[in-house]
Amino acid sequence: MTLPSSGDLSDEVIDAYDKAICEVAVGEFELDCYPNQIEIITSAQMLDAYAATGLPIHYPHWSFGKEFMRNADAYQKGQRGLAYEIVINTNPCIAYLMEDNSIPIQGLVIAHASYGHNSFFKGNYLFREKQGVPADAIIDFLVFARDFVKKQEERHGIAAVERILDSAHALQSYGIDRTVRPKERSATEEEKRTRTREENAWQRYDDVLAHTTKTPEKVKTEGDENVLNDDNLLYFIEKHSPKLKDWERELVRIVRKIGQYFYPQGLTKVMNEGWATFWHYEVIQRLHQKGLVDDSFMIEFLVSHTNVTTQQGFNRRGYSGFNPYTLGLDIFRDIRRVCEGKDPVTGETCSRDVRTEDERWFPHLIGTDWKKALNEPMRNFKDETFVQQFLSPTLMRRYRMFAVSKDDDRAYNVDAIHNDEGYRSVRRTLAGQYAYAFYHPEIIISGYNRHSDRSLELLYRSPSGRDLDTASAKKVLAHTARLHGFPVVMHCEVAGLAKYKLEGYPHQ
Amino acid sequence: MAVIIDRRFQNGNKNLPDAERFRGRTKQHIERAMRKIIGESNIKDVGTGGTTTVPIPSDEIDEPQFIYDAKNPGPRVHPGNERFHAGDKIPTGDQSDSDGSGGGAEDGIDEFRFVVSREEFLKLFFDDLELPDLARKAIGSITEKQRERRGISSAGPMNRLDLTRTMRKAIGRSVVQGRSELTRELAAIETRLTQQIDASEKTQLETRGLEITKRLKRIPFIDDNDLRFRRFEEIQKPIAKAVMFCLMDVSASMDEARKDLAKRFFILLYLFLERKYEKVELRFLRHTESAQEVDEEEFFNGIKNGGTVVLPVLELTRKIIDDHYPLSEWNIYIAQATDGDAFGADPKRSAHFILNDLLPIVQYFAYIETNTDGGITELAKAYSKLSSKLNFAMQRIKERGQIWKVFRKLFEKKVRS
Repeated sequence: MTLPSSGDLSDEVIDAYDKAICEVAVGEFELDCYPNQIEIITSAQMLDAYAATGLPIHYPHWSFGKEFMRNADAYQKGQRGLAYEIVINTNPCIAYLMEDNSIPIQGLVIAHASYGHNSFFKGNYLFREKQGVPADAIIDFLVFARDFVKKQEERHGIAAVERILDSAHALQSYGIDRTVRPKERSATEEEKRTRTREENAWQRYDDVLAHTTKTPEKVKTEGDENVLNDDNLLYFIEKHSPKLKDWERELVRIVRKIGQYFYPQGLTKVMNEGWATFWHYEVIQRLHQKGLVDDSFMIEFLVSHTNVTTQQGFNRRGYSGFNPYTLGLDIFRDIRRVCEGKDPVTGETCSRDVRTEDERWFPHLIGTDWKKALNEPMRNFKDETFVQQFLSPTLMRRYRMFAVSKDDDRAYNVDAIHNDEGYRSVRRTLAGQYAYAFYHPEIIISGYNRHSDRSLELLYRSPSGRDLDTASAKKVLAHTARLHGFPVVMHCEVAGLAKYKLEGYPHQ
Repeated sequence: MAVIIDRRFQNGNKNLPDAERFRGRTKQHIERAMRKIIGESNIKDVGTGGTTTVPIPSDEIDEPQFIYDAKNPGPRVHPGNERFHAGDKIPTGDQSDSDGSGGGAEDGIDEFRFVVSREEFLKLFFDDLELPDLARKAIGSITEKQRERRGISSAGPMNRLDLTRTMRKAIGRSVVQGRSELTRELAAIETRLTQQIDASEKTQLETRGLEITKRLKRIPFIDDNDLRFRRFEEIQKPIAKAVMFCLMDVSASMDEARKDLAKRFFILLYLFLERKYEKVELRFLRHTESAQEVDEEEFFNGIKNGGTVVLPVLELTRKIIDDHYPLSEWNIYIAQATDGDAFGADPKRSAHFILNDLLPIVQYFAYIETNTDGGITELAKAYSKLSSKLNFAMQRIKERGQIWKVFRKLFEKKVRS
């Protein structure tokens, strides 16, 4: 019985596709997934979801409005197609199907999101480790956050709330814990906690009192190793800012938690999309093999698949870096190629030379079960380590990769290209591009002058000589000072430049 | 299996309040943009463009982050090498080999361009303006028919079927007719029949079962009498009708610059009325030493020259009002633009005419003087005697940048006491 490849989107059609895909993805390919929740939405609602980075619920803020307009705009101009899919890490796994898309696309989205991304979220260590808000609890937390923000807006006015949220957003990338594991909390527990905090507000009031009263949290003092060298600026502000009121602290915490929630997503874009793309391809092919989808379905699917996995060369129009879908898909396929000794798409056996190369580079993969070989990195790696470990010379040749750096304003240096001398260097450089620090300068707390002027001291060090964008840095420091209530000083030590300081004041 | 939820009919546009907040923040930029458009674009283009782009400088809507200086993007890998070797240098500014777009993933601070449709733009723009004292004048023929919902009826076309009410009636009736009771009994019988029973009981139950089935068949699921429909009635509703007279001086003393100012003002007025009031008529009159009515095209684009006498155009206005716009039905508005270069007895006579023959019958008279030189004109002096009248307003426009401000002043929403 062939599944319908045209017509109106209905619950029945979706259910039929879901069952067929599940049979293949879970039954045959053994992907391990959370239960699925598939939501049909209008394009307007998709724009909503886009603006809020896929969060089905979010607290009100003008930045979401800006994002919404920016996207609505581009969509109307035809500049950007709305994503086929938005899926976020929740349990159950929520995927959105936009009603405007055709049936074959919906099928693709279900395979890609509800089984591909789903199994990745369930399996990958960064999502499994409950570092932030785990999949089960995120929706509850978002509900709590939205209601809390609204309540504060009613009580204190929108402007007062925006003040705090604006500044907290500026530091959202600097509110990440990489190792802490907090307990799960439900919405009601959150409320209880806030009430208790408010009730115990007096405990926070006076530093003197803090020394003499038993507080639930350890007070971190100057010289205490816990606060120094910490890069979690939002956490510090939340716990130690002398001037924030309790409800303001809670706002900071909300922003921090949501940032923490999204943190793994940024680190696994290539793997996540590659995994989902790899499996959507296998699943749809299998459906076709079984006679469940017809040729017209396949044609539409292949066109879409090809579009999504396009990669331009650096000097071609439309180049904007490595397409994570393409790179991820290719690396996963390449792992399979090394295991089996033949091209996964064409079936062509690898040449002698390539085989010898593979044996030298990936001896532990040769001849092993490719499904197991794919699962291992999916579960235990992130983009940086994935590329570092698995990017092969074959792929580097196929993409004709080359590494450049810029010493001065006049020219780029070509440091390595896709040859024997250059492979390791190219790979290491590309892997580095997926490190958190490649986009987020590493800034740590170097001092907190609690007993003098209560100023906060930050340190930015770059041994590689990458300077900060000082104009934006100053703005962020102003936001930081606003939250902290006292001046903030950042010491900058950039190799090749004289040391300098940037400052932020609370009433700028 | 997967839970499938159809959210299409839920309240979409969750983002509307956030988008509103964003607009609030950027309102002044919108105004600045409007000022620019009114002042600078081709007259033809003002108001005819499909979309308007309002660039917003980043300060208002900035979301700063700690980022690296764009000058040093760090070591990067790119695909598509055609001729480079290790150790080569690629000069910056060499377009064909240039470093793409610097890698896709790094977002710099981008300038935000706020693009709105003409509709939205005008809405934002005219949001807090209105025609003053738009009184409702309602008698007889100036009402219009509108359909309003008036309850329920038991007859009507299928598209007006009220399903909820119909089902309620149907269920009520079937309860009374015993449908649920009988169904229950039938179910009980069927269960009993599956159990071990003797032959006589069996035949008894089977007969009763058949009886019930026959009865049930006679109880309709929905009966014609159950149907309920939404009912509408046509009501006469009074509407406020308004007409705006645009009077423009096209004499020789109105040089291109002044004509331009006047035209731009009228375009703004035109857009404003078209946007805000569906039933506002516009009459265009232009004058040199004589007056004539023209159509919109001719008014904005036509070329004419001559001397300046104001009174004729005012008289013509009055005549048109008398002929076509009975005061009992119409709200009258007049906007006059000249450079004030009338002389002799004209200014006094015109002011007099306005005072006696126009002000008593209009809701509002706005006088715009496109005076680029400075100094008080004769006309302005004469008109200033009218400034105590509540429905008269005078403003001067010296340059394009002021058009917007003046317009706003004239049509600000007045706080109702």
